[in-house]
Amino acid sequence: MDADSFGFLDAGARRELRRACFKAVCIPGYQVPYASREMPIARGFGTGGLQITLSLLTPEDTLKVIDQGADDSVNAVNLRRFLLATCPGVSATTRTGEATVIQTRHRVPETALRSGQIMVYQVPYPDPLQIVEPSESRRRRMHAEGDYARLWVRLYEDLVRFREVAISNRYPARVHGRYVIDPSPIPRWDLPKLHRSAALHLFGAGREKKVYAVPPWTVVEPLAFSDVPFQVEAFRRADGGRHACTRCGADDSYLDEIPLPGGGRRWQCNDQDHCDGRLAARSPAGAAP
Amino acid sequence: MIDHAGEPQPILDAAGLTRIHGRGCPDCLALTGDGPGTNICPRCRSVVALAGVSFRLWPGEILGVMGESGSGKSSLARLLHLDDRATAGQAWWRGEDDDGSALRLDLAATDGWRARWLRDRRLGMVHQNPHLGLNFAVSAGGNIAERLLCAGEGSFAAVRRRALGLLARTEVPRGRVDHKPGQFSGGMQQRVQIARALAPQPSLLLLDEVTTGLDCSVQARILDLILEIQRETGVAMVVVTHDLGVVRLLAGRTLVMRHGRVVESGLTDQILEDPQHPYTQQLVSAAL
Amino acid sequence: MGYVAIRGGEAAITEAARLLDVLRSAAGGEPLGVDAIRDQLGLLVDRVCGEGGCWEPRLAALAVKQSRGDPLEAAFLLRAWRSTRPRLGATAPHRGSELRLVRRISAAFKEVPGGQVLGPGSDYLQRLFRYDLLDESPEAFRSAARDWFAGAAPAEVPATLPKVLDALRAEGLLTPPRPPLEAYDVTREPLVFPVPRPAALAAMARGETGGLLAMAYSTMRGYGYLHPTVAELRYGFLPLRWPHPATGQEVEAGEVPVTECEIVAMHGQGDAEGEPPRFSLGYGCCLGHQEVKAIAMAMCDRSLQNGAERGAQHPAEDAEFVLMHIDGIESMGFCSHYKLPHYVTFQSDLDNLRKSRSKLAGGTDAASAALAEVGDGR
Repeated sequence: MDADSFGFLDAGARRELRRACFKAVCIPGYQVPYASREMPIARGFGTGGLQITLSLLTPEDTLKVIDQGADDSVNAVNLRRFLLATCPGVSATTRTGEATVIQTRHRVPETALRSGQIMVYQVPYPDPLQIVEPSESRRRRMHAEGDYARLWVRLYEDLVRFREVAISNRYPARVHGRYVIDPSPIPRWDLPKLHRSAALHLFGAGREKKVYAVPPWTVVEPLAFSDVPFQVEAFRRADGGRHACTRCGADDSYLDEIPLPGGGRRWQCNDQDHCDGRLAARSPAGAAP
Repeated sequence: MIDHAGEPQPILDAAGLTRIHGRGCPDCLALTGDGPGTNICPRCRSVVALAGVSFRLWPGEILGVMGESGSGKSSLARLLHLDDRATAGQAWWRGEDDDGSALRLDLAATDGWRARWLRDRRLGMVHQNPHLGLNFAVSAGGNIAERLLCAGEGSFAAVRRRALGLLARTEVPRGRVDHKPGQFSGGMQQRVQIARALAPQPSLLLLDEVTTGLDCSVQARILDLILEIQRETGVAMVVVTHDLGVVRLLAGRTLVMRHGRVVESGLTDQILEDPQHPYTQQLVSAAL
Repeated sequence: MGYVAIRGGEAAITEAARLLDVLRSAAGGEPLGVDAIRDQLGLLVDRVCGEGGCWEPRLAALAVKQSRGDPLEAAFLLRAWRSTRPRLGATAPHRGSELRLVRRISAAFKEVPGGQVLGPGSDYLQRLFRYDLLDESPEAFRSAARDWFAGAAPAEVPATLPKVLDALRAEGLLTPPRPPLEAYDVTREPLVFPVPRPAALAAMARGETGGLLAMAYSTMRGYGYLHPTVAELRYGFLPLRWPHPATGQEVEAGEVPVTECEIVAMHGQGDAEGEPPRFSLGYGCCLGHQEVKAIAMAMCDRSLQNGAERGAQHPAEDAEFVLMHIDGIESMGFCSHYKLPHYVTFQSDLDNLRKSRSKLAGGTDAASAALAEVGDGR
């Protein structure tokens, strides 16, 4: 890498990425092919998101990187290290509210996003039709014709067999009434956060070489029958109530279930920053246990 | 269907439909057909599947298309179902748009989006081979649901109810709604195919050798079922078959095809009683 | 404390990297010289260069050392480095006949103009251990090359030879050469199917040897029918011509070792009316000395042409199936990614399963109500 190059990628690659992002914003939900570059991080570890972030960052930006809701999980640390080393001047934060660019794998922060923020998702499978059609050329035709019947049939068959759509995460959603997207492996819990969101959401699939977008304020509807509404994770207790975070007490957040050594389990907020924020607000000292 | 002038209009008006597989050459049409006795152009080796086929189909009518294999009858069905494109000619379809306004489309010149709309909402196809018409990875109910969902049905309960109704109408036991096609007999698979084709209440149903290969008793029951459904729903049908018995039972009018051409057409009874073309005469006498 | 265990942060990553280095040296001994790897593990270095997509044998040797001999990791290192290099341009098309030959064989003819040049090859080795290499003295090591060069006669073979297929082509038994298609840089343009043949060839040239071989082997075992004959397999050094910056005249700028394979497959109908049938060709060419890869590539190329002409009837005739699954860097990366924590999505799976079980045990939801009409529903 040349010492003076900002953002690791060469200028041509950054320009190509930004053009792909513009096109993606102009056609919400459409998968824009681009020439994904080889990164020094393995395919599948977030190279798609990484390339978008590298092409967007400017020295004035404040960056947050999360993996599984945590800022300090190994993959998030690794990506943040790489981004900060290749983008001098960019500052890092763990606070959702302070970040201008948030690169994520598998979660949307609990804290409401605001206008001007950009979410960058790491995407393993960009195409929601992949679960019903393996051939990409046939899938492209299906998207062009708005042919999502086989996806709907999948929902029908799941309801017949399981009384429940068996797609737990990567739940397909229609964007702006047209293209159906794979929202990346975020849990159902996070999908409603994309609907009319104030932030720009960019999705990058490095291995599959696609970029797509949900622009701010865009309508995002999970595929669902009119009489069988889409449901998010319930975190239901045996008595019918809902589990709450044993750390901050939240009963309105996505939870991690942690098996305990002696049997039984503990429930805890998955979004670390959100949980810390609630704890700090509760105790003026702000000390997290 | 009635237009503004009050004259009845055909649901389908095909003129000069031609389909050539291969590069084609200026002499393809002249060097093939009934005279030369082939549908392969000796000059460029192209296959002339259809040449100048014209006919009209009226609302509520059953039109028979009869011929041997290679006569072009299945090519015609594929063209009308928009699974293939004509090399030349037109096929004007008349019907209603989603908002109920009158619509006239050339099936030989639709774009991909319109073609899908027609297949999803206005046309139905039943294939000889159930593997072409059914998704064997999905239950019978799911196969019908797919068509209902394509046509815009959004309620799970309604999809379920209508799938059960269609299966009942085609005499498939309701309890088998969640079984996969591979678990059905051949005759039952055709019934599911018919139910699936009828799901969006199409204005035109195409049947391609639907009873070929089935036992005689099963054949008879399915043909009766097709007649009953036609009387109930008034759907227009094109019945493609090599079987004189099928056109005799179902079709009011029939086209006889050979080497991609229509060699004779008219009232079915007349064709069977008094065939004019030597080929038809041969077919009829062979069947007696 | 399962929650904390996956959080290692900075320290864990650094320690993991350190431990790899510890493993490399813990048993003692001499450190491996990069030059020794390049010179003595040449086939591994060639493979890394081929899959890494650039000819840089010393860095490939470093990659082998750094990755402790993992060819996929080594190729990955080389590719990641390659993607930071500027692309200076593209050469004019070069011909296989320009190859300065080290080895050249034809299975199609007993004798070929210029002769069969067996060169170095392991095909006729008896795969028995040479225990003398267990404890090879430096003297014995050096003498192998020294003795050979001392006894070698001055070259009797010209540096380049005509292609075996030239004669068949002159006779009109082969599909005539098509005008060269524009090169397709798979590192700068995504593969959007259907792709032109140059894109397929480029993707296969950097494909993973094992993956490509599996695809080709499927055609040999009946998933497709090629009936191939290796018309010519050549390995040698291709002189690279590049326009001189001042004069614009092409000058030789260096040479790169390549293996090239042409297979003749079963004959097919001529393109146009009245044309007699001809043999068809499959072409493979890759960096370094990689004969199995070049042959496999040629077979896959022919197989993909079959698929393009009459629709894919076998996996190896389907361009999307072949080209999207032979890249070692991508498939290895994605396979490894399953080691990353997935507890958010797994939590979602768990919740979904519990919900489904509770509804099946007696739900009052809309789906259950609609399904009640025909009993169990399953």
